[in-house]
Amino acid sequence: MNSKWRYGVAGISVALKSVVLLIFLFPFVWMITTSLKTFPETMIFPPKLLPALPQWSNFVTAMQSGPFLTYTKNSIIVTLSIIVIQMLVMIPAAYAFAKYKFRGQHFFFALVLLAFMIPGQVTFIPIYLMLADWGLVHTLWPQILPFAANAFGIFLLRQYFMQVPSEIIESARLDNANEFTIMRKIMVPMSIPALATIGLFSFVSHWNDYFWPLVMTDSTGVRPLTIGIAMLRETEGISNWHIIMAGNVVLVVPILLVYLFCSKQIVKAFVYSGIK
Amino acid sequence: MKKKSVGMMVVILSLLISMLAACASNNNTPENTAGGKETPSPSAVESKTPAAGKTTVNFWHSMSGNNGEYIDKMIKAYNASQDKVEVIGTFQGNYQETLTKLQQAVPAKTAPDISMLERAFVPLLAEAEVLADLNPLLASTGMSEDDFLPGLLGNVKFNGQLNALPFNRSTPLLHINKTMLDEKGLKIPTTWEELETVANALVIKENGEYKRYGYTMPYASWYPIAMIVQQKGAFFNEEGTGMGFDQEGVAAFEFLKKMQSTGALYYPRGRIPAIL
Repeated sequence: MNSKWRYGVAGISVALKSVVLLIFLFPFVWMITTSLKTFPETMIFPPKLLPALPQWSNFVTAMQSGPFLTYTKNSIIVTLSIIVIQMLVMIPAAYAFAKYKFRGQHFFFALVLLAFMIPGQVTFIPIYLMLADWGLVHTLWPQILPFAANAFGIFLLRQYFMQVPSEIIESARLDNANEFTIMRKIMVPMSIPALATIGLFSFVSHWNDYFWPLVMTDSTGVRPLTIGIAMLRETEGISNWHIIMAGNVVLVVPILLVYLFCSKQIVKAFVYSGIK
Repeated sequence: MKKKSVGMMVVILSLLISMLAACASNNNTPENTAGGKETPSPSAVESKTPAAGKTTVNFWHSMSGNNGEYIDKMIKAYNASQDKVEVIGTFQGNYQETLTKLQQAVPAKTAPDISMLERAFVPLLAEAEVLADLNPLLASTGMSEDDFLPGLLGNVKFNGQLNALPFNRSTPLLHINKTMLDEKGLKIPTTWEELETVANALVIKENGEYKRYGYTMPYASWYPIAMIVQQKGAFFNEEGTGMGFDQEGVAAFEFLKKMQSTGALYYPRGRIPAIL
């Protein structure tokens, strides 16, 4: 009786998970199959899931519609630079907020939280004016510099660092470790899951960002992939969905790859904080 | 295209009239403008530095997809036609996004020489006095306003200045099904009354359900505006401070409502175009 009940619960759980999985997977499947269709196949009603013959040439068409090599290069440079700079700023900041007592501590942390709450739509005009004044508008910096300090990351990492026992840090100090050694040898290795999570969030949001690069860049040479793909859309009338989806597949592949490598760490980050 | 004026702050804005849908890809009109299969040419004009001695003219536009390719072809043809001016065209997002970019670029002094601008946004920038008066420029090349069709010169003149020129003003086309008209012995309608008669004659209603509607058109603000103007009304009053119509608006909507009630007019369902 008892085991039957348990099987029943497990069955419902599997069924519910399958439904959720389907809901999440279907748009991806639809994107991939659409990217392999011909134009008429994207338009027929009722729609068909699979193309009669996979049209791999859609990818060539999408990639040849603009300087995609430049776009890809810009996307990679911008996203990686943001992550590297964020780590350099975030780790010492979070360490200081978590383990130091200093005057104005709460005030400065409140400033960080404030930065975390203000959306980009509010700040983009002053930032653009400032960067234009510095003559940086035709470089990649406007897409990198404003994100150097990741307020969300500092917040999350501080919580994580606070869980590291102060005794460990004190014993390291007794062994003559300086602050940078403590960060490098103790804080960072103990918070890999948190850093991976923050890094991945950062990666996904900046890799996929459309609004910020659009308002910050005026010339083709410094633009990322997302704008290249937006340019595949039709201004008016019916878009070539198969070409757009081919572009989207190209855009999404790096995210899936990174996620594959990071997913374990991310689950760990949440599980760890859950136990505490 | 004129030579770049020394005062770079002056933005010369060519008028751009949007079709109903400003945002890309949200249109449900039946015309297929994107069925072309040819490989798109690079849809971004490379922002390479022009040869020495050439004047650079920056041109911002909102055309992506096939329209983007057409505009690139025009730019290329113009650049190849002479060796004094190099036009650099750059896609700046849809009409609203282009406006946002202009609003931040003007104070930042990074604004382009020429930009596409959706007609509804011209007054905004004209009142801010950031648009050049094109009359002296036209005169300096032996041209004048009279070289343009008067019907296309709405929304371009403010405070005695010519602030924009018609470039891609939207023009609705009437598509007819000649077979169906011939079956009923109907002529192509040219007035409201004729449209009502013809559309009603084409309606097929069976068991309280419409099997065939007589006529359809998308809903966008400029259709009713046209109907108001056709009755000699004006959308805005002469001072530009309020409505310039009264009974004309009532008549236009009563006409549409009457057509709709008999199946003579069908408004397709779908997303409301972003610019209304």
